[in-house]
Amino acid sequence: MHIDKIEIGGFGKIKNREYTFARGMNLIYGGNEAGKSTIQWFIRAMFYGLKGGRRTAGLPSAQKRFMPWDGTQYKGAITYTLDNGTHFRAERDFEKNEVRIFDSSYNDITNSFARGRDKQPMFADTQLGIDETGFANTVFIGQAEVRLGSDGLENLAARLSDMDNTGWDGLLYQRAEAALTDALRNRIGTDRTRTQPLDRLENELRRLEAERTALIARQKQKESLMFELTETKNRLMELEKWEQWLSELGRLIEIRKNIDQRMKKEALLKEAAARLEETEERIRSLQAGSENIAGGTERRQHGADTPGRSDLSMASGKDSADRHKSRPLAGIAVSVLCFAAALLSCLLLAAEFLSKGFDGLRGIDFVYLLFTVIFAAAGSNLLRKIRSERASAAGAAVDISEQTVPVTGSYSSMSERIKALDEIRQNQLSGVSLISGEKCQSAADVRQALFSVQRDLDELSRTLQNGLEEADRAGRPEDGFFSKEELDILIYDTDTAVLESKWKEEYENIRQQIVETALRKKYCEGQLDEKTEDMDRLQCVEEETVAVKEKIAYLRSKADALKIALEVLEEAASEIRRTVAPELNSRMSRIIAGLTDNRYTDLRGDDSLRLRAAMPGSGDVKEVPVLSGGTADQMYLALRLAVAELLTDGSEKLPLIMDEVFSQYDDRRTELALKYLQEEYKNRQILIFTCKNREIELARKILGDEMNYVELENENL
Amino acid sequence: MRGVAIIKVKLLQFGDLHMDAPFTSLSGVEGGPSRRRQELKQALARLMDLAEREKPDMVLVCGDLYEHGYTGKSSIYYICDQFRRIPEIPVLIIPGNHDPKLPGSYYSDHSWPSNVHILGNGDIFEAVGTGAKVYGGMDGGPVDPAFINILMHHGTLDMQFSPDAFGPISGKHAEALGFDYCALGHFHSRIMGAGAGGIFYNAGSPEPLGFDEEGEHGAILAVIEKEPGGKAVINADFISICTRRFINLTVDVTGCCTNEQAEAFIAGEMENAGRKCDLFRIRLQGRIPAGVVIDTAQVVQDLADRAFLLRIIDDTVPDYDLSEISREKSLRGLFVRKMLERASRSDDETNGLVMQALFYGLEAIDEGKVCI
Repeated sequence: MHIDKIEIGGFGKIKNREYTFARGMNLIYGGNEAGKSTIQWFIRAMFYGLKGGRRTAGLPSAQKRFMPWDGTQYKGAITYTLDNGTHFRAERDFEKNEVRIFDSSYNDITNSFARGRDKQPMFADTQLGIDETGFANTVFIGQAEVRLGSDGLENLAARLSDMDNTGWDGLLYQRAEAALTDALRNRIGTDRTRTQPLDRLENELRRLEAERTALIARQKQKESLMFELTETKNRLMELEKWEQWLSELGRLIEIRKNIDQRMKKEALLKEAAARLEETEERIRSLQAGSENIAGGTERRQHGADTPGRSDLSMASGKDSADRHKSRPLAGIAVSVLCFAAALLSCLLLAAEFLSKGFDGLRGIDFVYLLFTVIFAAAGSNLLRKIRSERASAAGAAVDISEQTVPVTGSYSSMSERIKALDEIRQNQLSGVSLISGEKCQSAADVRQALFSVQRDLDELSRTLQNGLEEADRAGRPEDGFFSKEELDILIYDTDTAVLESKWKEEYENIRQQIVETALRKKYCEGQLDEKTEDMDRLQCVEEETVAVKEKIAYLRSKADALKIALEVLEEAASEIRRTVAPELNSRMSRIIAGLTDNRYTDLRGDDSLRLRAAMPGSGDVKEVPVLSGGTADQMYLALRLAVAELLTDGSEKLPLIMDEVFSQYDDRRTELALKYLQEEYKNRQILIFTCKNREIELARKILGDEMNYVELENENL
Repeated sequence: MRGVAIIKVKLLQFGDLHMDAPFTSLSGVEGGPSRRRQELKQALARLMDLAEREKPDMVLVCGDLYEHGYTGKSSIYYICDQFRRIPEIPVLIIPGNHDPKLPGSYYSDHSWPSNVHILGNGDIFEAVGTGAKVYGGMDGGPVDPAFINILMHHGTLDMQFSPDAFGPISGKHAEALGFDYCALGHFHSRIMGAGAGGIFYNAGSPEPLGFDEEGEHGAILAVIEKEPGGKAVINADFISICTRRFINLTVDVTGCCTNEQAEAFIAGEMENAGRKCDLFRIRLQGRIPAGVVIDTAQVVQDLADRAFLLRIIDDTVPDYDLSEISREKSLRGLFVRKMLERASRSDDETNGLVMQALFYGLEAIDEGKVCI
């Protein structure tokens, strides 16, 4: 393909200009700011349009960059001829971003071309057989842009991987790689992404798992509470059973107290009855005596040898008093002996202990100990009995002394004695009435009262015994309750006041425990009040978790497949590049040899098109970027030319459009380059933009009339 | 049987109801799991209907009646109400791995109806008037041959005793102990007359719980007859009570270019295989034109009224002539050759992944995009 003419209506600084180009070598000369680069860009823009959008690398977008400063029209036209001789004209309005293509008959064939993502017809991609990026990395060399960056090299390498593709979009590898990468990054997600579907799912999974953990923790707490509730209920049952048993025990203690009271009452009544009987007996004897006195001496004489009843009773009473007095003496003697024996045993034991120590004590020593205890107990018991009998005797003696009434005396004093005794009898009856709680008017009444008390005692004793048996049945010793023997000891042998105090203390303790346990039970029940939300939520969380995991697994398998595809695609592309490499290296070597007059003859690119050359003379392989500026430029030019040849082999021969490409060349190199280009690219249009007169002179010298010279005016500045 | 009294017992056996379990197979279906849980409760009611009709001597519940971690008191009350419907019939329950008898569990702590008996290992229940004894495990001691001896067990039968196996028992051992019938639970698939003596029966789950539980589900009604000291004769029938079935289908949609075409194929297969109340998992297979994508989500939506649940897995492959492409001298051809080589070296598990990668790559090369 070659460019016939360009018509610049308005582009950058240039307006209303036309330039015609020859098929072969064209040198476009202009000073600085004459518009060389602008024209070069115009050619590119006519074929591929201008991109709008944001600033890149500090520069405004291409569309803005070349907008006419004075606001005039922003458009142009280009006519070109394909290698098969067909002519075309493209007219483009850069402001409206519209383009129309006409064939040689001026038929508008714009719509016959496929449109790209920007909706513009891709006529250049179709007719030139290369897209803009490929165009820019091969035949279109901007000012100081002959060297390619990593992106450009990658682009060329990718194109070389798919040279067999004849479609208008030749960059299959890059496109495929971009599609796979886009799917992986934007529709699934990677380790570096944060907001893509896989990321969102994994966040959701983490949230669900945290919620599940919390719900299960609450579930376990609930199970623990259920267990505690069971234990608490059991404990409460035990405590209530114990309380019930204690209540029963309390009742028995009360019975025991009643029995004690009744027994005291009985004793008092017995004593009172005995005294009353004595008093009544005395009254009767006095009454009988008074009758005797009233009956005269006869009776007295008659009864001289017959002691009076009262004398007898007195005597018996006196004897009784005397007996009471003599008994203690023997008892005291015995008790003293007991204490002496106890003391002796104790001393013997002490002697043994002091001489031998505790470990040296033998059986006989423990016998001493036993004797000590026994004799001491016996002595004190005896002493206690003596004291008790002496109290009784004192009472009897007092009674007798109080009740002694002289037998002899007058009748009137007898009556007085009887009267006194009767008063005593009345007092005694009052006392008995107080004791019994019933009005007693006679000894018979007293006996009745005593009988009643004794009957109560029997009843209470039976009740107590039944209660003890019931209590024994209700609480088994293995459950911590007292055994029958222990109960008997407790009720019968323990001091009532102590027992009652201990019972009260224990009962209050149990009540307190019952209250606390019941509160704890209530608390557990309250906590366990069925909150279905948690259980329903746990089920939902489980279900949602499975659903999310399934989706994650699905996406991860897709991601794995995409990664495998990328990996194999890259492998295939590299392999192709490796097959293309010999041809590319051969061409590059040939071109660099031509450009440097065989100074450099071995130039190669690796899979990524990083260039290395063998140094003249030594043959050492050096990376091209470390060489001198001019040499490196030559080598990158060789790369571009070699790739352009390979890519366009068999298709349109694209013009070489180069701006200041020889700026770092010396005269010799410039001459060699011009010669090479002229010889090797006879069939290819070449447009060289330069501000150097020497290049023009050299070109004239080499090319003569075969060169088309275009000079740019500066009046557009 | 000449003049010897034959003892006979009729029993209804089920297990693995899993009341209140999460339905992960229905995850993502709005309202599906809760509805299915309700259907499990209805299944129990139907089982009690069956018991009322058939009047067995006892009902055996072989474990996993409810889900310990998810069941609330209201469900337990419901279960008890159902069991109360047959007050004259003993209901014997053994705990399972999902409803263990732990301290504080409903088996330990709840007041069950008087006809319900929770049997532990070592417990023996004698069904009065039937001549049968039911053992809650093999620790109940030697059996009395004069009775019909029924073992209830929740666990695995004659499987490799890996650490994960729950309640493994040996069939030979159970038979050697003299049991006449073994009512099993734990596995959700049905077992009828397994073991050398043919005495092992597992009713499976009364309602299926996942796509690995295809077919009919229900309970076992068995009549066991025996001369005291003799060999038991078992007549056991499976009674289906399930309302839904899980159905796995493979549908070949080769050549389909549109959703509608695929839907027609799928709908036809669904109608042949099941009912509207069933749950379908359909795997699409076959070759469809490259670049065509069946929108499975749309298909599910369009066919939703033909099933209680419809899941579609797209295993179709693009209709590439891979052998032809592999002969191309291009990036495309080389890519396919390499992928086919990798697929040939992969195992069954990864082969699908490699083929998927191949199709993604071809789509990326041909179309410049990849549909996920």
